[in-house]
Amino acid sequence: MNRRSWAGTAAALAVVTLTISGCSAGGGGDGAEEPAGDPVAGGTLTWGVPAEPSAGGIDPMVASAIAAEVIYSMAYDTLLTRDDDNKIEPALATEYEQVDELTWVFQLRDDVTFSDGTPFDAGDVVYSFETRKDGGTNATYLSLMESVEATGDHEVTFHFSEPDGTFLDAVSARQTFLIVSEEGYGNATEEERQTTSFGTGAFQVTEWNQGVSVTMEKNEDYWGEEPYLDEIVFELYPDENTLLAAVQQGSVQAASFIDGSLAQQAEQSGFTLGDAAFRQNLAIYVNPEAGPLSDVNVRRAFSLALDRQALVDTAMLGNAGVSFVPPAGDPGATDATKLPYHQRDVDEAKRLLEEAGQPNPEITLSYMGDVAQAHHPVYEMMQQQLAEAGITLNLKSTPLAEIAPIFTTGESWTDLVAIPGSPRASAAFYLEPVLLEGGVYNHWDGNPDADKARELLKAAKSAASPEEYTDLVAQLANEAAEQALEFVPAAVPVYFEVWDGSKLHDYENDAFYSRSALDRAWLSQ
Amino acid sequence: MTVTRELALAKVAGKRPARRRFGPAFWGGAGILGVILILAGWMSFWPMHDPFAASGTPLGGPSAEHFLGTDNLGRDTFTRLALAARTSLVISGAAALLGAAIGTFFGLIAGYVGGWVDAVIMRVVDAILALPAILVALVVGVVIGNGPWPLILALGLVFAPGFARVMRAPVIALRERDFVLAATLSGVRPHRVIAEHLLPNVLTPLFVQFASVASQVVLIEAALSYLGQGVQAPEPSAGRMISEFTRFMQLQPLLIILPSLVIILLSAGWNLLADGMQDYLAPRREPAFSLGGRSKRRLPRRAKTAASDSSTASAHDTRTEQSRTQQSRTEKRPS
Repeated sequence: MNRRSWAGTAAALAVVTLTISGCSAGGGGDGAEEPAGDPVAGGTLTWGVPAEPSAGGIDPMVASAIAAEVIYSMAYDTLLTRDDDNKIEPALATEYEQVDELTWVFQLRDDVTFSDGTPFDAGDVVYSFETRKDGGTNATYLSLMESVEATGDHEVTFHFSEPDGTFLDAVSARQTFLIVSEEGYGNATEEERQTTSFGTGAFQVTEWNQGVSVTMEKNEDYWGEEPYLDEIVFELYPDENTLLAAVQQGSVQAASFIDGSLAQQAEQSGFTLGDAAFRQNLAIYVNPEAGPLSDVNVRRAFSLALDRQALVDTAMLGNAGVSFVPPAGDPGATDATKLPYHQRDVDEAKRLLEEAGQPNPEITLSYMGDVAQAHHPVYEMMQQQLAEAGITLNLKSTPLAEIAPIFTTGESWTDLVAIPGSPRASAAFYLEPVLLEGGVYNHWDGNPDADKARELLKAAKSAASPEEYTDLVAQLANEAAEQALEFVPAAVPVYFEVWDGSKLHDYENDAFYSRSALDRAWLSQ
Repeated sequence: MTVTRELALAKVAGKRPARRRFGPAFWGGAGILGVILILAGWMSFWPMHDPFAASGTPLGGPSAEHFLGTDNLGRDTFTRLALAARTSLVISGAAALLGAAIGTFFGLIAGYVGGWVDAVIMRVVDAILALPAILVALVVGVVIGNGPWPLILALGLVFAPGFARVMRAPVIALRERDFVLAATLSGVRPHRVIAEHLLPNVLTPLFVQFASVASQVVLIEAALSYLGQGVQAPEPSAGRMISEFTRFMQLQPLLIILPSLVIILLSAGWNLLADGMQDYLAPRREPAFSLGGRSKRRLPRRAKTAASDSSTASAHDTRTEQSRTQQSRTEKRPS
């Protein structure tokens, strides 16, 4: 190639590069919404999702993945529910009463039919709670429940061995104590339970094409107002960049993103971005059995060296909140900025390290290197911040498959492990796996630093009144921060939801990511 | 003693060997790698900005202060790219060097000793060649951890069999040559025969293979880092940059275009160097690398001088002499 050709090629390359870089974001729609008019029945809503249910499928008694929760919480109902202001509302139960500290009575609706045609009654509630207590997901939430009995066709009574401060939270959480049909669910095979639904919800799962989509159809026997939508198809886009492209091409009318920056780009393309609550902690669990973190002063210095607001503003581009346990968006959350060792003070951190005799500790943090890339900048920035206090943070990118045994079987780890936590039904449940015996993140047994927190947690779980419970949960958060039993650099929403406001009407996302507003949403025809 | 094929053939043909020059491929490759090396050295010793700390606004575009912009944490992209190129260059060079050292050792032994030693070594080589390099690197990462050194070790071991195979073939041909037999008969010990008589004569394919392997290592390192299993944060890596910044593709496309260009340039640099050395050390009739069609203006002049073109003639003679040499070798073998 002669010199002229080289110059030509270089020029062409430069033009292509500049052209592409000039085509930055902002090429979407104008976001203007026309007046929607009257609701219209019918239509199929296509919703892009980044993950599909995994182990346990959509079986509400077995599956615990968030991708499963968002689907089965539409197909099944709970006895009570909550609005976005955390006010308890009736669902399958019309009324409830705490007869004494150890007894709760619920009156049930008598006009409800399951999607398989069987009528709903107290027997289904008893079956659902007993099945869950007998090895279902979140069975520990019912550890204080002694028995549940049908005291009428549409009345159930719960008996507890001790007062349970978390019960009302748990029974009104949208993804927790779901009621299944004793006949339909009880007689179904394991495969049927994991791929179809037997609930009382507005939409029922009719088809799960694994790796492709989950289809939910309108429940003709729904006890509430008849939904407008005929069908909802959750299409799987494991790569969120592809999901963004699908949004921008109009292939989906709504989408859920884990990555807030991509959701913002979808918003720039004309979609409506829901205001999501920060209900998922980017939790970092501590193994204090060996190494520098066995000294409480090193842990406190670690906490003091973090500038949490900078992590939220820069590393998460504002798509997160300063948080501790429980997450900032949780109804029981305390103001993390006011907790001990939660305001950055590098000099004090250095002093504590000197006091501990470890001015330059070296700490290893394992994180999931192959998933949730939106969270990785947080760990990198933490590394920079900690270095200013003399702490060397070694980042160990570990595949999810290698980290999974920690949260499935309770395998050990070195120093620190970052595992984004799932939202939980009640505030006390967040520290259960860290402090209580058998907890998968518990390396504090026999460690006096955690004694007080453990006692507070047990006391909160047995609180006799909501006021006492709230007070004990606040004390627990304070003690856990004081002893630096866990680190939380930020909390994020479970999903950032976007939808095309010009096509999908009367939809608003909710604080519990249950998409319950789809019951009344409708599509332009 | 160094005997190159060309010298020997020129002597047989009664000609002085033509003075060889490095071609455009070599200079292209060396130029690319040289520029990257200079920039990487500059940014390593006198960085414009701290590569590990924020020095500007996140996702900033090119400006006077940050002329390639900043990344999502506000770090200078140019400084980090230069360091990423350095890391990639060091890993590719070191892994190829390790592979060359191990492969050459076993290749020379297999070729010189022959017999069952050769058979065993070459079967092991065959077995290792069947393993995909990226898979081995992933497994090594899981077993002994991630980072540059495990990567160098894994890729060095994976590419060593290629070197062994490339070394063995010319050694088998050379061990029957007179100068080797003379050395052996005069009592020179085998390790000195290998080191002083055989090794210097097989350096041509070694250099070419070295650059070729380095080019492959660049791509594998980028792929592993893309998967999160190569160079670890906060060390910059072009592969990881592409993986991390895909989410900002629409907001700041330069963030993935630039690391992609670094990978392309590094890989192309090593490849061009390999080709250039191949052309220089063992010229072929047709250059393996051509940037385009021949200039029309030059064709007539070439046609005029074709008859006196020494390289063509020497290449022709080379082939003739090669067949002669092979004939004589075949004849010699029974004795």
